[in-house]
Amino acid sequence: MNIWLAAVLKAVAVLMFLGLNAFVLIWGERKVSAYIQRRYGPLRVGGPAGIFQSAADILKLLAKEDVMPGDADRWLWLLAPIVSLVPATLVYLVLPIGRTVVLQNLNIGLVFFSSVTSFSLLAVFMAGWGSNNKYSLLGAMRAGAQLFSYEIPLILSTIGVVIVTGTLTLQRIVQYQTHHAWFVFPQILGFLVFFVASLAELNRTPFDLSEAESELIAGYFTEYSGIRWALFAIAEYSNLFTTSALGVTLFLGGWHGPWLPGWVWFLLKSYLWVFVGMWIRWTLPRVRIDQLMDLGWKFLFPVSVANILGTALYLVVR
Amino acid sequence: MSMASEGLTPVLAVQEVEASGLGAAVAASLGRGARYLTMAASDHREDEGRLRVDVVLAPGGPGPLEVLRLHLPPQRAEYASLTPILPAVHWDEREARDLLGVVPLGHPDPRPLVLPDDWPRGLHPLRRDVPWDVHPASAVGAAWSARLAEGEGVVHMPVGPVHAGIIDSGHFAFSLMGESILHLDVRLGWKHRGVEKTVEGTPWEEASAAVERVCATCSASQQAAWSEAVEQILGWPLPPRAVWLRTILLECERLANHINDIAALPAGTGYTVAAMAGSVLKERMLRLAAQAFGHRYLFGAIRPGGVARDLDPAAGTGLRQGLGELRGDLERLTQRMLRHPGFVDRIHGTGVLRPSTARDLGGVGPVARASGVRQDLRLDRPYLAYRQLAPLLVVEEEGDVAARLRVRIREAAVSLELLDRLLHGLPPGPWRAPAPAGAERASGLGIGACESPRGAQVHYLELRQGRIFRLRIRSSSFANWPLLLEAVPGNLIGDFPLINKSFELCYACSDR
Repeated sequence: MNIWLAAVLKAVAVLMFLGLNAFVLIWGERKVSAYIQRRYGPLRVGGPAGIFQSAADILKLLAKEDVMPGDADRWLWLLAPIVSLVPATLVYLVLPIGRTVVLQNLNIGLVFFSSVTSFSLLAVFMAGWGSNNKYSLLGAMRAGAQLFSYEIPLILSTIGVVIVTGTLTLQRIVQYQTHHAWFVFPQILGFLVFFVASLAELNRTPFDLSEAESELIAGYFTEYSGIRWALFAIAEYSNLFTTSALGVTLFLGGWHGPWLPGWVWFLLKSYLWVFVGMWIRWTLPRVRIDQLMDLGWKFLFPVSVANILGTALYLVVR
Repeated sequence: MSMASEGLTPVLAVQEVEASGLGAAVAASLGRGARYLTMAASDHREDEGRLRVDVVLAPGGPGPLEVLRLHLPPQRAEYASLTPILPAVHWDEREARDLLGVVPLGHPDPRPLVLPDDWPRGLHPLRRDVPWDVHPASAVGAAWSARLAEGEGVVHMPVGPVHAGIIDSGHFAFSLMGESILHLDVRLGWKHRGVEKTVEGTPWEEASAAVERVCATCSASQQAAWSEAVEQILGWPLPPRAVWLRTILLECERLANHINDIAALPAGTGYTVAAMAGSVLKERMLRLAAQAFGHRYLFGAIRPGGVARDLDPAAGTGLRQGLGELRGDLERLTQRMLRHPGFVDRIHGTGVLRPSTARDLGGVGPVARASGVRQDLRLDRPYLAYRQLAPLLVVEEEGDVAARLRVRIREAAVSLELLDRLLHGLPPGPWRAPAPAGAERASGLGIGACESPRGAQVHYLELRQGRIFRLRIRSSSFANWPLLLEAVPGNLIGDFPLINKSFELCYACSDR
């Protein structure tokens, strides 16, 4: 097949999935939160269990006026939501969706994933600075400090897996798990650190300090409305899915599972992970910024380093 | 119980002082253990040709309330500010300066409290020759001169006066160093309604509706303090059943507020499960109130001379049963909250109000009691049924958000227990006494005080020929706002909503 045609098809598929994913997760999040809080959640818009809510939301957002603050830094402000979509889209390249399905089987898949996701900070800062608003800037600075603190344990926690499998290719890591135990058991420390750090990386309660509705209004995207705000939301929900999918790939055997086709297992596990994230988000209180930093640097960081040392020692001694 | 209002109507001991002697008189009274209740300035130029300032103090023990009265000539309505010796009058003096043009010399804050910054000088709305609907053309809303910390790297962050969410208007000016709050200044008065002006000249029989709407969440306390002031002037005793029912209403209101405040606190940390579970309990409490008394927030429940309607036996049983069910659920919820490590981490050591600050600035209610101030009007000057059924005094020492939460949790339990006893022992008989002869033409001064859910609520009322000459309402929130400004600096900006919620101050009470 023509390489350009393939590229276009892949891009279209990813973008469609991005939209669909946000469509389902926005509704899903509202339903899950409602269930946890003893409410019904969206019902009025219609459809089974109010599923049309997302469609109504999208229509509303498309129809909304696009308001730019008077003193905003025009280009930074306009580009930020689009920039936030770029890393969200790119990471799908390396995710192994099924036994033979992966968009681009890069031999540095894991490194690619983590380096691309760290780019999302750029969009956050563009939005925070470009809005010329103190709430936005404070939100962006918090997000920066937080991403920096959690990127490190997040990456370190995956190194144990890399040491054992000897590869950075995500597909090979899954294949390794098909004839060994899933890494959640031998790499339990790495798994736990990854899980906590990924919640922080995604800026979700208990780590949603950069947004903190009750404290800072909406954080770095305070000044955005309509479709630009929707782009941030789509990117956020996409990141939620891809980070969960990476966790599933590294620790829960990726597409591996009995009876069902691989891609079904992949989606099932990833959305289960997403659900657990939502469950935590709506159950736990938010931590304070100093507590967040303490957790990252004084606990997760040493634990992930200990995990690497332990894994390496085990491999040598064995 | 033939004269139920006897202790409720302490005789007022009015003592006239010279402008130069006011400070000494107040200091002497405080030295004897008295507590500041309220201060009211009024315009007596029509008949006496002078302005009047009354400072009301409650003696340490039983005995009449002390009213220190100062007369001031209208041309030079000045006196030495009391704030240096009694910081609790800080805001009262600023308000009196705005509204009546009574100038406290040497007051540390020359800025207006209630009026806009560009309000014309010399126009004082509570003076009797100023019409209630005065609307000066020059007052267009100048920028407020906030007090800010200055320095290298200090960021000023304004919040409000319009807020996201269903909350009244207040302008907060933060001076930040990174995430830390260096200084906080607040400006209220954005929606000042001038209730005290608009009720001037209204016959007392017709004013209850306005008074109970000063603040929705403390409506019953407003009604009780107002009614007490009227009854004091008229010498109007309450029948025992009315005493009991009024106490039940006040405790129902306290319970609804405490449940609301307990539920609001976790929302400040994003702990929504507890906040939502608490909201369910609050809603149940409001519905119980509506079933028993006809209004969720108890509007129109209390009237001078008794209560507005009787509690029928079936409704009383229903209320008692509903409260019994509420008790267990509330206990389970609060235990879950206090055991939650993430939540507890956020509230301990946050927003500490030192006991000395709380005492010196005249803090009231649960906020003061959480900082170790042993003070509760229900016990200090027992009124209504509290004379027979004294509630347990709840005090915590730490003064942080956690202590304020614990005070409310424990007080809610005390209220539940009290309500059970009140509903059990409700005496039979009439629930309202007929007004004494000549009530519609009565004149005099009355001071009604009660412990609202947020602390002491004091109504200073002067009637002339059955009509309101001067009403000043000093609400618990008015007393506690200055304390918030002391508790916030040194904390992280992210903790402000939490600290603010733990004080649970009312904007409407101050913008009355």
